[in-house]
Amino acid sequence: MEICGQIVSGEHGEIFIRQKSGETLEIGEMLAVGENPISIMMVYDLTYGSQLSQGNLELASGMHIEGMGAGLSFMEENLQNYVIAKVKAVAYVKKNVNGKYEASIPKSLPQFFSKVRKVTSADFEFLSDGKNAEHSLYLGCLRSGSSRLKDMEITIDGPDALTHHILITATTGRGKSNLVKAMLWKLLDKEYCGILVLDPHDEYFGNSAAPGMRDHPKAKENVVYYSPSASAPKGSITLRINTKSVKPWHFNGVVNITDAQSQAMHLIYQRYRDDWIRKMFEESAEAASLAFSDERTGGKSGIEAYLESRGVMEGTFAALKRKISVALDIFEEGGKIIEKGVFTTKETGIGAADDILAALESGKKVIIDTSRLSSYAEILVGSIIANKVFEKYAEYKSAGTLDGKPVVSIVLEEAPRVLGASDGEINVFGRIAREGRKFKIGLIGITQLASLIPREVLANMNTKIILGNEMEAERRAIIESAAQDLSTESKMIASLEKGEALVSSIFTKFAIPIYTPLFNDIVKETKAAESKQPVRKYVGSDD
Amino acid sequence: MPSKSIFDFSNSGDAAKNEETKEKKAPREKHKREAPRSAAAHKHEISKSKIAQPPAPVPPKKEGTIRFAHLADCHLGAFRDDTLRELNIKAFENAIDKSVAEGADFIIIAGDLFHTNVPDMRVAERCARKLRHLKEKGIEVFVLYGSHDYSPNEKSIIDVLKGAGLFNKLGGGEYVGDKLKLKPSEFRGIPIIGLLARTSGLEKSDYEHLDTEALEALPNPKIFVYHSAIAEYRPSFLKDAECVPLSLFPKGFAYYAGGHVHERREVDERGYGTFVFPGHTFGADFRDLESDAEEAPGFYIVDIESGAINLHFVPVEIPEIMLADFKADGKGALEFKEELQHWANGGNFAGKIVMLRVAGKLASGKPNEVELEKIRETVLEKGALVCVLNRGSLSSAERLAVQIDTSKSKDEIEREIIGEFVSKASFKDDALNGKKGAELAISLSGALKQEQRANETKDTYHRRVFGDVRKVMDSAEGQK
Repeated sequence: MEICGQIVSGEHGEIFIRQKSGETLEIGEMLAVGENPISIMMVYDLTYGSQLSQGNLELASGMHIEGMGAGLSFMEENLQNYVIAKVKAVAYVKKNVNGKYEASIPKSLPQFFSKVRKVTSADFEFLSDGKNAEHSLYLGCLRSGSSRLKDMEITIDGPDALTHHILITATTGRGKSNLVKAMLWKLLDKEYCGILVLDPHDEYFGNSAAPGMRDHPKAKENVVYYSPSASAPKGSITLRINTKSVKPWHFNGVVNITDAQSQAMHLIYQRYRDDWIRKMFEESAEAASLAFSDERTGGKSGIEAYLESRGVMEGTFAALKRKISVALDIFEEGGKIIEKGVFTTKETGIGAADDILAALESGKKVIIDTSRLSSYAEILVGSIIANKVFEKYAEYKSAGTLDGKPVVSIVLEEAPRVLGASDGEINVFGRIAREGRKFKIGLIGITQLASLIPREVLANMNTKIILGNEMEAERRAIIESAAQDLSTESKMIASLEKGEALVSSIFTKFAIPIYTPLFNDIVKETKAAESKQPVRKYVGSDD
Repeated sequence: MPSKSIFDFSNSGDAAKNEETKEKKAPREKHKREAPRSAAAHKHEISKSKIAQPPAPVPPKKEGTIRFAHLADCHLGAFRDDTLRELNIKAFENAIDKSVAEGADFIIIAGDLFHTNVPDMRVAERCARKLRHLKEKGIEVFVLYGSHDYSPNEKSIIDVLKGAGLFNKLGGGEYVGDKLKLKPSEFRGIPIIGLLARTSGLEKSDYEHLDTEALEALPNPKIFVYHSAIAEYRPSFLKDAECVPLSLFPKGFAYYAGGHVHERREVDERGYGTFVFPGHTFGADFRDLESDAEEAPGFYIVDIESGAINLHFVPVEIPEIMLADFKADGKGALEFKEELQHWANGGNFAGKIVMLRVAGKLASGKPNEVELEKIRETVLEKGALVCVLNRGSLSSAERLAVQIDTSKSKDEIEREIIGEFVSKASFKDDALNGKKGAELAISLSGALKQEQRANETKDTYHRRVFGDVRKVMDSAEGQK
């Protein structure tokens, strides 16, 4: 047993430990007292302690640096000066009658003057006891200060955590993407959840330069990758969304549409149903190519004439069309419809949204490369699919068949873009954040700026994975909405290195410090364990 | 409400289809391009048939142009009913005759020439005659295995006809290491490459390993023949179809001759070329015939002229198809029977294919009291060539039937039910669970329900079935 200090004073939530000479305690380090029960504590601050008064210390220092104390030294320095660690007890672990460890929130103080030791993996056996490995969600390994307990893998219950939403927050370069990649990689073996990744940096699927989900042994079965790029890797599906899949409510909270424009939009939809967008552009293109002296419409499209008859102002329709045009990247030029983005009025992409839904429902991980899409188009694509999932899962719920369905989670980069405070209608992501849990749908929000997410939404994100963040305001926003009291951990959060994080969740007894290994190392490890590919035979080979 | 099947057909009334057997157009869904129709639909009060625009005639072949015909999904031998089976083969013969008349230099059949790998020999003989006729005229035919006429366990009629020298079989190739290298055929310097189909879309794995670079290096114009649904073009009703994404196809082919999806479609794909699905030539079931009533089936005549591709859709001649939908909701069995009888007595059915669909819940009485067979007899007496009944959706308030979406085919319903049961079960062996397990159950059931063939001894029959079952099990074991 490696003793590193002793409890010398304190109170609940703030225990003082004198550091043993020769030992080094770190902020974030986990310490333990006892064998059974065990009190597990975390260092959140460090100060100096000395048996000498401050005046004497300053005098001794002065003599040293002013050249009057040559040969002057402390007597029994190890006893005179030391480090005091401020710790708080985070878990109380006890073996139950079945020999299993059980953890609870500490309600008493560890015995006064107890000797304190460094933790070992054995102290955290309770983290894996009683867990369903099939439903686990990998986060990394346990961390104690800057040392990593690599054999102590930290997982949480996937279905619970995913449906109660996860927020991953850090400043740039602290390992947000690495963490999400690691989580997705480990989830590729699990069928309990379908994950939709809206990937604005095209970094999750991988390419020849950087590994990604495509390198997973089960990628062919479990990863579906959509990209609008003509040079996307083999096996990817060209991202095309037919405008038949786009409904007026998909624009809610995505495009700023006035009441009058919204009414006009619904009128058009009521008249043309799935063809409403195609008709908007086709008829306008047709009208534009006709002589302005058209007797029937006076140069107006059928839609314009129809809306006018329903009391919609000409300018309202023009503004609505312009907004939809920008959002969809569909334009009308010289009587022709020009489609520049992923939305099309032609014959392709009709089943895309259904395909994505079907893949998610079968527990697959769907990655959509949105790096070439405008911000509007990206959110709209997400909105279409999220609406589809929401509607379908609501249907399952009312039919009583939701239990057999996998959880669906949507990964949102730059989460405040879609979850941020809005004056207008709440978009589908906001709705999922508030009530998705009832329908087994969750969000994994990734952001640098958690403070831009409304408090209500932030409070609904019940697992927070907090990586390094120097911005005090951001730390405060996260700490205020965390599942555990992290009021003393602010400094620690600021000092987290790349890959180091603190997991605060309603599904953990305490905020767990973790380290997520480099994704490239995880890939290498998996590849090393891969078995040989079978010899292939083509059925046409007998010709 | 029954739980969802693993195969997860659409829960809407539309026909979501099984990719293995029914890659077809949903009833009443209008085709993307108005096709000509020699099969004008009857405009009955209850019918929803539509009249489409006549086709533009195929222009005369210019000098220096290479012209070919592109057919797919003929499904010869698909019907048990003698008349429909005959009409099916006649539609094929008509397509071939028209191809010859239009001056086709060669013909591509992009899969599912036959409905099964061993069809009725009378059907095979008729087909062989037509192919010999082409051979005598010096018109080359290139045939690709489809998902129906390919069998992993035994030879297909395609091999027999190929062996007789009646056509060239596309789809040859072999794996060299992890790469599938396809062997091109050729017509007057135009490379023609095919990738054959397998049941349940298993060919997707071949696409994943296809050596596309070698194919892309071949000189253009070149033709790629395939029998698979393409993910980007998948219509919403083919929800469960296993699709191949475009990115797995070789790029830069002038023409991509497709089959498998029973829907006509032409797409100019940037970076690739022109993808064409001609649809079926007659169809293989009730739904195909319904779509034929709305738009005549047919094939493409394609001209390659100075490297450019020009497409001309040619309808086949089939008898007029009359669609009649009757709703029984709220009516008594006798009242409904009288309504149908009145319609049958007054109808002009001479020379027509009559598609009679009855649906809904009778307020009183039982479905069998409607005596649909008698209605059919009347329709036939009044001169109909054939009267196809679809009565699966007719139920009675007195006795609720099992909830099955009868807009689906027999195979689809079977898959759905098996999928549903497998989804509820949990086995230690993962190969028996989920979609994999359901596919295995379906393959086994397919192997076990084979009938004894004429001239086959009981012993041979037993050995054949046992051998097929063993292959299915070995294949499942190999995929673990």
